[in-house]
Amino acid sequence: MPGRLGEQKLSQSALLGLFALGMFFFGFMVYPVLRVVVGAVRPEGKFTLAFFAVVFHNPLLRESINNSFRLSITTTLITLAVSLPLAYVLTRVRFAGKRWLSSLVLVPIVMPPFVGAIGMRQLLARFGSVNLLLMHCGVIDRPITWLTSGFAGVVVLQVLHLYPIMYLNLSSALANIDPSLEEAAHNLGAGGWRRFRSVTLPLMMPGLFAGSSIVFIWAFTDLGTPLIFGYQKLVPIQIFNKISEGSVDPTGYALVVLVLMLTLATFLVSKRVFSTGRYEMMPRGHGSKEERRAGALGTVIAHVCIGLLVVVALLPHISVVLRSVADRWFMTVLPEKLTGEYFAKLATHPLTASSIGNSLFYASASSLLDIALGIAIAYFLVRKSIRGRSLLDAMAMLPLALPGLVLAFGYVVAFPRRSLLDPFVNPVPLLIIAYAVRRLPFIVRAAYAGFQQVSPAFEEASFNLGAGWMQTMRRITAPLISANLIAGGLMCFAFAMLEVSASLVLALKHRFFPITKSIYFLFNRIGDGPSMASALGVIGMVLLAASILVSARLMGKRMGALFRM
Amino acid sequence: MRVALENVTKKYGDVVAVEGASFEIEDGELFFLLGPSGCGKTTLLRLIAGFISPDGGRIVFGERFMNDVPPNRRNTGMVFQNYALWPHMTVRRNVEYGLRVRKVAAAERARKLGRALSQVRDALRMRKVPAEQRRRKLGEVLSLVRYALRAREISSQERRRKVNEVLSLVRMGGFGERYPNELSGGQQQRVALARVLVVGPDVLLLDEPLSNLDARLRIEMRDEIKRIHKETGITFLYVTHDQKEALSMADRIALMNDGKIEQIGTPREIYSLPKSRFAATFLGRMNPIPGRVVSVMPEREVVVRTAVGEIRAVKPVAEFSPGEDVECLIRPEAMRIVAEQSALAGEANLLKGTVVEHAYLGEIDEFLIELVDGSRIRVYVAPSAAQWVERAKDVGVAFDAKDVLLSKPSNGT
Repeated sequence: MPGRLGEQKLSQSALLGLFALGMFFFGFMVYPVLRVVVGAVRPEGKFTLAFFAVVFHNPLLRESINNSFRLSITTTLITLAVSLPLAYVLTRVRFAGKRWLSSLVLVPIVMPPFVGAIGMRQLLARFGSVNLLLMHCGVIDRPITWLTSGFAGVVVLQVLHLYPIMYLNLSSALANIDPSLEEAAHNLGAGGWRRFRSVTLPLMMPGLFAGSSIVFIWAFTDLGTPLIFGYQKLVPIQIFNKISEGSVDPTGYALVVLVLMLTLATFLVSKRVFSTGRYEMMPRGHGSKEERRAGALGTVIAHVCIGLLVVVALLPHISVVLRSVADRWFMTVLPEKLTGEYFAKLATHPLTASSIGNSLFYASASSLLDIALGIAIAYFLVRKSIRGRSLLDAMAMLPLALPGLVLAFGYVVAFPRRSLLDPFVNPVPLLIIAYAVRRLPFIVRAAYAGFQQVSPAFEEASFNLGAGWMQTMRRITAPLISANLIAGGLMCFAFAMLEVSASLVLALKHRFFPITKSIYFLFNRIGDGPSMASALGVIGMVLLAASILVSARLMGKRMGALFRM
Repeated sequence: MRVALENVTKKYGDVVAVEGASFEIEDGELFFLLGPSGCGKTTLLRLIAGFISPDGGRIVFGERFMNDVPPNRRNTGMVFQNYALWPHMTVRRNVEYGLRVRKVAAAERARKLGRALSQVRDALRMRKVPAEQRRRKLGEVLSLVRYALRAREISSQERRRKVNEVLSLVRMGGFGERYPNELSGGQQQRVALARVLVVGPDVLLLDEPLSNLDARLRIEMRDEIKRIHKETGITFLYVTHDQKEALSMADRIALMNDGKIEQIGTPREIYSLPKSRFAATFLGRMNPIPGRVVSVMPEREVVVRTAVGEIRAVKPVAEFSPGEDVECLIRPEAMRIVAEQSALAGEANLLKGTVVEHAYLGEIDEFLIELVDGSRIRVYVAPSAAQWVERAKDVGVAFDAKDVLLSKPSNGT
């Protein structure tokens, strides 16, 4: 007999479902992480911190750690510097075309930095488009070496990809500030800048911190971008190399544990700041209104600056598109002749054809898995009052604190050779699960929001009129949350299409390569490799953009909520 | 359908939501559960609907023991506080939902019935079953048949007819193709009613159905609900905190407080013969005057000495003995303002006071009178007398002994 709504008792099937969820969480989230930690501190059965010492004494690794910190901090600060004025202008100032600009500004989120890195190398090479253009215009005589180590390139790409996320966090923080708080300061005599510094900025802190944490961790654990730039002396690359070497020595484990500790620390601190409650508990006045309107000059400046920002952000990807259709492109700003041969080759080349098919399959499977998990978890969180509720919630959100690299590493070491899930033999199940786990928080949030919109009274009314469980689910609940689920599922699909970290680590055999791994592989090949890689990248971007567009239409204005902490 | 609750209890951890609730609702009654927020009335309603199950006691519909029956098998119709009309369905789809669902359920039941019947037949054939058992078995089968027949397959034509019928009953004919978000609150309310009426429930459960409507609409809908109740003859169980609603609509009221049923009776009984201080003060208004019992007469007349004079009371709420502290409770409408020096012919009680405040309430005037000890009481005065009271200063407040309720002194509630 099905358990009744709101009752404390759980039916048998519900208990079974909870148990299955628990097994999933343990097997694919907790256990791999534990395995990594154990491998770092107890590789031979004895507890030791020796390998951490090794890490810090090894000059290469020490330098890598330094660089990674430098990289993430730089990226975070620059992203902040870009996003803060952006958020302020787009939230608080009224001017023509603002709505359109607000959407435009988010476009770079969907442009995968991994693919963009390819284009960027082309652009900023010694005889790349940028230098050539500048020399052509007479601005410089000799080509500038833009990329000495790749550090700058990585930073720029990361900033351009991450600023929309920071912007979303900041603008929502800004929009949620009770305007009467600023009005009170105004009333007491504080001018614009004073108000901003003493009232607005402090109130934005939680959102600012949340956005910064996301950006910092992302930048620190980014594997794809530095790989393309060949910038080896970073923690993620070192970890990646240790795996590629076949066996994994404990130093690798130690490195991963360090990354994990960093992520968890950031995550916990930001949660603490977020839920101090001091800011949330304040009663809200009426909705945020725009403070001022910009004159014609201001509007033009806004459009130009933001437009420029978006163009620069898209430049690497435009370059990739050009590369994919360029027949000859050497020493000229733009390609001389265009050709479709690389796209044609995609279909016939065994690696690319199979990787497109692979990615489609992995992405679809992981989205379906995510939808199933999302419905189940959200249902338990919303409708049933069970004792382990906060634990379930924590587990569902845990992947936010698990960088893809850490998860992938965990899978490699957790599932032994010659077992069913051995990634060296067949990485497909692990790939699908990795994608699903990484996107789990987002789909759970989408499903949760959907369920919240469906008041329990809707389901109770259905029961009351004689309908059973399945009928109620089918006729009432599912239709009402379907928009959210499909939108969430599509986001999972889009992400899985161009996921980098887990794909690079786990797909170790050519025939299982997803698109991203093929791109990486082709890019390093001489000859038409880079062009093929670009063509493949374009295909990936098209699929990504299509899924996001459809998803955005379904979710409407609530898209932003999916990207925040 | 008769509904009986016997000693029903429901706890949430340490919190007792409902304790020892017992009452009987007659078939076709318009029965009210009245009480302040948090008194447990909605919990009781949901227990009867089957969304939650009791920790103790029995719930019986007619002769059938309902404790273990799931909500979708109880044949109750619930009207929710915020209507719960499904936003993705038109009015017609909303209303015919119950009919559609039962079609599916009926098919399932027919199958179960067939299985059960053949089981019974085999069992009775296989061994010599004593007459007593045989009779019992057949009785069970018969009730199953009765139940299954009631929820028989409904053709789409018949469904359409029923829906139209019930929509015109609630005066929403012609609104079939609209969506709930295109309707006003009152219209949604009616559709919610139609939705449950169409399946012919045994009991209609209404959870504060009018609380989301504005004052005027509320009064209109009160009459509508009464009319629908009369025309359908279904047993109604109505939950509210609004005493005007309860008093004006109910056949009988169960007054609830803090999880317990305080008193059950007709509106008039509860209002004029309250059996507890809570009952006395929850309905209408009361003027409390504390005092001490002086004497208790054999005809149950009690004399109380108070700071403002001696008061004679005829209806004690509980038993009192001389020397006890009591509270005299008198309703504002039971008091009359008279000239200070008027004779006490027949009036058992007269207090002296001065007029301090006046509020014009439209249908009545409310005066605040300050008594000799500084305390203030409220008196309602008819418009015709209001004018001279306004201009008066020192007045007398008169009331009959039979209008005085005595109760134990409150502890500050």
